[in-house]
Amino acid sequence: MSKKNETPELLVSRKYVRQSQIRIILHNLRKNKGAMIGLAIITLLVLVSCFADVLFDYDTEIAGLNISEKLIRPCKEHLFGTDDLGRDIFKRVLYGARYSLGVGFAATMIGMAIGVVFGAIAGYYCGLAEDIIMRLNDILSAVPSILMGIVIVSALGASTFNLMLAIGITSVPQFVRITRAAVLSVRNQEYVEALKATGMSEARIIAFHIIPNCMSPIIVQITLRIASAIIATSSLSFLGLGVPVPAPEWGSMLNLGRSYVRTASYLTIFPGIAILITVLAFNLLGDGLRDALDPKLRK
Amino acid sequence: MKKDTEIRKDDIALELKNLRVKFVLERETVEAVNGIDITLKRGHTLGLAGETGAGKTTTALSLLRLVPHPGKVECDSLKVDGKDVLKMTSKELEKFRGSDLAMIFQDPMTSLNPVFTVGQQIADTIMLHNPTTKEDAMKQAEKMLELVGIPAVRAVEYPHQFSGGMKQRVVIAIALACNPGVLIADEPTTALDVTIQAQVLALMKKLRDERGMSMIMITHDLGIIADVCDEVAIMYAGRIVEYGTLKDVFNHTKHPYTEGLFNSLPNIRNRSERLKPIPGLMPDPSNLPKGCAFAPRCRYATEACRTARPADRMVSDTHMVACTAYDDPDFRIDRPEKD
Amino acid sequence: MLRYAIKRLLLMIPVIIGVSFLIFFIMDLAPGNIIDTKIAEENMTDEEAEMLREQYNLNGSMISRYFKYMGGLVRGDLGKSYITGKPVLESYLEKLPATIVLAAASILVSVIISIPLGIYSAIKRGTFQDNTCMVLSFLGLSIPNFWLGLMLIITIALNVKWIPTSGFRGIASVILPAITVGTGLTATLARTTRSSMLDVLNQDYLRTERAKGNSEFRVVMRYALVNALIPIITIAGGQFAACLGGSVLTETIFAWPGVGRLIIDSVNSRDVPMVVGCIIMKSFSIGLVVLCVDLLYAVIDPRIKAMYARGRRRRK
Repeated sequence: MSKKNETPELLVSRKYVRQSQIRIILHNLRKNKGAMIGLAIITLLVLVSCFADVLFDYDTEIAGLNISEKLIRPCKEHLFGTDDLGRDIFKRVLYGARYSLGVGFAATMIGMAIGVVFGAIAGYYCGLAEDIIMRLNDILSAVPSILMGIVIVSALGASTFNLMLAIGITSVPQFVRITRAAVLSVRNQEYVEALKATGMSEARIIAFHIIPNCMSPIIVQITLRIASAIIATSSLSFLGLGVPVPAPEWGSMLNLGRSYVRTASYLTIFPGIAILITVLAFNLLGDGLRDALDPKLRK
Repeated sequence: MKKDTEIRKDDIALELKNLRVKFVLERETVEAVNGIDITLKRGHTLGLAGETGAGKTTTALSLLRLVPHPGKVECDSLKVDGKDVLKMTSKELEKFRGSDLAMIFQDPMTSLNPVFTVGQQIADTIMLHNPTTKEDAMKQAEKMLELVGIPAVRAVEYPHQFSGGMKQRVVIAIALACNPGVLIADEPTTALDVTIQAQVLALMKKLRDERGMSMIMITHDLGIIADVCDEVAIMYAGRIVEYGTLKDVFNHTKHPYTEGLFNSLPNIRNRSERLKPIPGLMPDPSNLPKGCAFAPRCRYATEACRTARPADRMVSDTHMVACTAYDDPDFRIDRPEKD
Repeated sequence: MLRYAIKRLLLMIPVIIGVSFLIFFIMDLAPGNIIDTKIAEENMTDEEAEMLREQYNLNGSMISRYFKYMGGLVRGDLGKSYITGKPVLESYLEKLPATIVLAAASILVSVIISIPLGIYSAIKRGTFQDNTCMVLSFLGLSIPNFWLGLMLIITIALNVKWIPTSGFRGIASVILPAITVGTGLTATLARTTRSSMLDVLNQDYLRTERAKGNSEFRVVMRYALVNALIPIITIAGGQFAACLGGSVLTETIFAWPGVGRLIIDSVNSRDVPMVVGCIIMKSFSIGLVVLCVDLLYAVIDPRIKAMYARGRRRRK
């Protein structure tokens, strides 16, 4: 950011506001037990995902067959048992974290990037641009997101990238709506007028001054969207439309376990619990962030 | 107070002794009311005056035992029409509210339920306390509306279709619907225009006299007190600092705070005279000063005022003042006495 | 109010045009099409194949197919399935009853559990009971419902003889799918009820009701609840609308013969008219339910009714 256009007061005030706000938010977040538990779980999952390749050898331990050890009930050697191809469920569940987190995070980022840009445009420039964007948004959100995901993935073919894209697109409408609402409320504040008076370009004002001030609802939305993106990822994989086998994605593990519901229920129990815990962690953190970021809701 | 003993028991409509209300919050304890005694004679009207935050509304809600959470109410005795309110079960309390003791709330804009017609809201009270049919209750509700000067046909309308003054009349009609022995009016005219204020006050006076009700009028407007009250209690920071008949308090003012209230009124006969506001602000109720709560703002305050809480002192049979300065028999405030 | 309803219905038209174009476009991205497969499978002569292609307008561009389809749509014709040749609308309506039954049952589960729970939480706010309810609702929110369905099959259906694991056969078969769908809904609705009640419980008019001599139970259940209903109905209505579209995963797990499975089967077999038709019907029914919910507001809240009567459009 070039500093030519800004008066020193503006720079100082913005820096000051940002710092102290972060401190307040962290302080509030630390008091929220649920959010801290969520954060701890997420940190753990991120660590597991990062070091999954160090911990396990993909070709032999995760994807490799070992027919002699198939369908072993949970025991000391195989904490969660083994599947029909003799693969250790415990290792696969741990390894699978990277798919859920990766796809969930990437998809949300795609949705956020598209949604925030269009939402900001719609909120800042009223009139025709807003109308067009909001009508398109209505159309996109008229189709239930799981269906949209199914249609997109099946048309483009089942692959990890297409899965991210599909889930990302389905999360666009939420981001558009939230960003627009936030921008609308910030747009007419005096500091924006002041920036205009300094001769700053509108794109700059939006990117560096309006969007940063709309971040709280967007951050909350990102956290909550990751939770639903993780569910969507496993749902589509469960339908055979997600991460291709033999990758140990939790949803496709469940799909596989479905055939053994009567005989080997542990195949479906553990991947499901993994999804539940991950989604719960993001929901707890998102809820805590919402309370921490929104002073109106604080009591 | 001494005068209790001199009045025959059945002449007392409401008797309250040593009321204390605390709000215990996470970090602080707000002492909203700190020991209040009220005796209201049948057919009389007591004015409860003081600044915002003096604890007037909390006092009123304690009488109905409706102080909201986390308020803690302690009280030595509370009797309304000879009934001991403190000993009531929750069932008896429900029966008591609305029929023996009713209350008119401060803000008519928010005091009416937006999704029921005004007729329904009045009829509700009637049906709660009388065994009548819905139709009868509605008819009575319409009568109540006419009594407060609203055409009966408007009973089927919703609160949002009424103006502020009209809503206040509806609130009054709800309070009076079951003919309560005692009526508490909590700043019934504060939210209204001046012209409407006069109408509503006249209406309340008329209804009070017709029905022989006792009334507690809560207000910060001394003009209203002079207009409708027989007795006056001046409240400051959760205590009554001066209590007496209208004449006692208005003409023989004793407490420096009461004096300050009078001095901050505009004088219509001498418009060039400057208003003399009381300097400073009401103390934070979560951090009251050790001595007299008014001492920091009082121009007569001495060291004694800052260290000990003033005791209630009877200066005549009916006139009480809580001010340490009167320990000195020669002490007089500047406001001249009238007759 | 009628004018408002008509206006809202008209506003749905561009959305439906847009939705159909979007789905048409995405489906067109898929390589290959079902007719070519059919031609190859049935060893048709070139002439027959050409006729079939012509019949489904596959020689033209996607745009021309789209306009032809929309031409039919204007006349109320949703087209014919590439695979069965049956009209789309007929297949859709065939599957709709099962979906409606499931949707109604799920909402029933959700409403019966969540509203009392939300009210209880709101009254007891900040207490152990409130926290427990909210933790439970978080769990409900986070459970992937297809997994919950599988768990219910494992724990209940395989042990309790009279509850079938799949299909739509009598009341008993609705229980598990309805719980599966209802759990997520319950969590959301309980949280909405709680926050909406918390807003209302602080209002002055409840103090008036208490001062009238109403019991606390009556104050909460009659006077507060009615005022808290609007957000609750909005969410419940939205949930019902979403369920009407068919719960794809739940229907798959329980082999429920509903709309959701029809759509996913059609997607898998690239039956474009079927997919587009079903999604149009789905968006339409969602829009219709949401409109009904909006109109329901007027019944509950006289202020909104007055606004409709004055012919003003409600601001979003």
